[in-house]
Order: sequence, then structure tokens, then C-alpha cells
Amino acid sequence: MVASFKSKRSELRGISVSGVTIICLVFAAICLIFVSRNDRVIGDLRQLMSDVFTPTYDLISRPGAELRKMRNMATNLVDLQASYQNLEAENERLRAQVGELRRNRVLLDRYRELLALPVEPSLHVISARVIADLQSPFVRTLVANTGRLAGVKEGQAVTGGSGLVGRIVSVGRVSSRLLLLTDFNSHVPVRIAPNNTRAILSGNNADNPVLRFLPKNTNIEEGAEVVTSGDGGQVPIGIPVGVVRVDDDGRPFVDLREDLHNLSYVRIISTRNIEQPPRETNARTLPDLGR
Amino acid sequence: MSGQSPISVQTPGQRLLVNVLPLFLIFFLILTGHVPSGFEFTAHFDSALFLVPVFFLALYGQRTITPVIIMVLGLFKDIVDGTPIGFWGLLITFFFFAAQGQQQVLVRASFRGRWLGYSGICSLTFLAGYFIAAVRDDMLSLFWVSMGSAALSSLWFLPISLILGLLIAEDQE
Repeated sequence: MVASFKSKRSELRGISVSGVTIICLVFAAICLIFVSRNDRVIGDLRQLMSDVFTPTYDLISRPGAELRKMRNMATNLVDLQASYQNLEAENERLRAQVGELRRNRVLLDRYRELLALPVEPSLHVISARVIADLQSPFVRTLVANTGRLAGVKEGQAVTGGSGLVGRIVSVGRVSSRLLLLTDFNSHVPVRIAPNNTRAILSGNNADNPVLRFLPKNTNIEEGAEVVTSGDGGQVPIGIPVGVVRVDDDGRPFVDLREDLHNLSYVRIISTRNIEQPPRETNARTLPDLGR
Repeated sequence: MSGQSPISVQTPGQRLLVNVLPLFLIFFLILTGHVPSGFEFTAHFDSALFLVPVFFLALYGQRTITPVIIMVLGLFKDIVDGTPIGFWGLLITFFFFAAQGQQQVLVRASFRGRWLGYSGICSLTFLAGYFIAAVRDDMLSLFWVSMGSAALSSLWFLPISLILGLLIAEDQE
């Protein structure tokens, strides 16, 4: 057996490094062609790796996070006077809006009662820290340090301080992966104010996702507010996304509210599960039962 | 190509330094490449720092198993990055293959020549990545972002090769 092993080893030595490299190239190409990106086993393996490397990511991302905090602090110190004045003005504006919001809330509850509309599911927010930034020319994803243990589920919406940033695509025990709105595989249903025009916000691996599947002959104004439509039931309705801009060729895209390159903390929005509508087969049997 | 390095490695310690340390460096750089920088400019690109030790292994690596380990590390990057399995596995092996093909020229070249060689092969690798992304329906890449990533990687060649250059210098003594 030892002799056979030695002979095999000498045979391996006979193969040149270039030969082995070509075999590896072919193997990798076969993997690329035949293994699906959304393969369940690979997805589980990915999430397992994220869980395993969470402490490492956490450790190596800390100095960077501290440096960013210090940089922000220094910037804030320089602009302290201006920031204070801006905050004062914003506070005044918000105070004025509080009264109006209270009145609207009462009116909304009254309309809901009159129309017998179901109450929107209450939102539960889970805070998480971004520990790995996987943004590259080919993918736009992040890893957050919160997972199944904290109640995170696939498909949940993720927001930053001022708007939607993406949604959860896979969840591990202590970590989760979030697909940013700019990723090519991201498609989120949205509504555009003021006409509530429906569209799909699709990522294009650039900084500004584009609006697709707009109704024909729709006139969209530049600067119009884009919010989530809630269609599909995974992303709650009304989360601000950004404002519409139009490029030189007249194609609308969205200028996101959130800076996706400077995310330290994110909020994962968990909604109550929405009940599935009855199956078609059950619905068909109802008249029969009536007879 | 025989796979024999033009540099003779004498002691097992030196052999370990030349063959194993760059592999650990590749693994470490794949992981640290994911640390959020917070800079908008660099966030657009993938600096692919791990390509520098791959380049050095292609030039000075001695073992037949090296391309296999490199491909496995590429597959590992695919798993942690979320790219399709085999994407980085193929690109990193292609990079190794291209660099190893120019081994005789690059080993004898000056540092500037090696840097130029690295930049050229790195650009070719990212170009290959751009084309693969273009033909797949689940991927998309912008040409200038891919080329910008190659340029950024070339800029990082100097500091990382300083670590590896010391290693090679020690090996040559």
C-alpha cells in the first residue's frame, strides 16, 4: 500500500503545475456552469460561513467602526454651530407637524372604522450592526450581526436612519445577509407620489436603482417621493425609499435616501405574519357545500 | 512548465515561508476585504488584495498542489461573497495560470516590470470577470467599475509586495 501511495505521488509529481492549473480551471468552470447561485445547500453553507466568521468580522471591523466614529465626531465638532442651528430649525418644524399628525391619526382611525379596513400589522424593529461589507463590482450585499436568535427572518425589510436599504436574503443563528437595493437581483415593489403610481425598483449594481414596469403613458415628475407599496406582504407599506430623478435619456431612476456605502447600523423591520388567502380548490368547493 | 521555481529554496523553514505564508495571507486578505471602509469612493470597487500573494505564489511557489489550494480559496471567496460558485474559483485560477505562464520573464524583471505585469494580469482577470457577469442572467457588472477595481488592486501591490518581497529576499540569501 505504501509502495502504491509512493508511486501515485511520483505520478502526481509528473504532472506539471500548469497541468494541475488547467484541471482546476476546468473544475471551476464546471462549478460555475452547473451549480445554481440560489442552490439551497450552497445557501446554507454561505450562512454557516457567515455564522462561523461573525466573531472574526466583528473583531476586524471594530477598528474601522471606531475610526469612522472619530471621523464623524471630528466633523460634527467642526460644524457644531451650524448643526445646532439646523437642529433648532428642524425641531421647530417637527413641533409644528406634531399637532397635524395627531389630528391625522384621529381621522385615519375614524376612516378605518367607517370603511372596516383591517389594521396594518404592527412593526417590530431589530437593530443590528453591519460587520461585513460584501459590495464589489459583482454583488451588493452586507452581513449584519443579528440572526434567527433575535427573530430575523428571510424577506424582512432593512432600513437605515432615513430610508429602505434592502431586505434579508438569508438568516443564520447569529448573522444575516442583506441584499442591498442596488444589487442586480433586488426587485422591490414601490409607489410613486403623488399619483400612487406602481413600479418595481430594480438594482443595477450602480448607485441608483431604476424604476421598471411603469404603466404606459405615465408622467413622473422629477423629485417625486418613492415609498414601498407593501405588495407581496414582506416589505411593509410606506417606508421611504428615495426621490425620482431622470437621466439624460429620459429614463427614471431613484436617488436613494440612504447612503449605502456608509452604513454602520441597520434596522430590520419585522411584521406580523400575514395570513395566506384560501386556496383556489377550497374556494371552488364552497358553492358545492351551499347546495 | 516544470513547476520548479527559478529560486532555490534551501531550508524547510524557508520553504514553509515561501509556500505556506502567502496562502494564509490570501485567506486573511479575503476575510479583511469585507471590512466596511466607510469611504464612498473605495466602496464601489473590489481591491482584491489577495491577488498579490497569488501572484507571488505563481512566481515562486514550488508545489503542484498550489493551484488546487488557490482554486479552493477562490471557491471559499465565492461562498463568503455570495457570488456564484466557481466565479472567483475560476478567476483566481486564471490569474494564477496567467502569472505562472509569464514566470520566467517576471521573476527576472525589475520591481517596476513585475508591477506592470501584475497590473496587466489583474486587468485581464477583472475583464474576464466582467464578461462572465455579462453572460450570466443573475449577475451584472459595469465595465469601468471592474477596471477601476483592477487599478485599485494594482495600487495595493506595493505595500503587500513589501511584506512578500522581504520574504523572497530572505529566501535568496
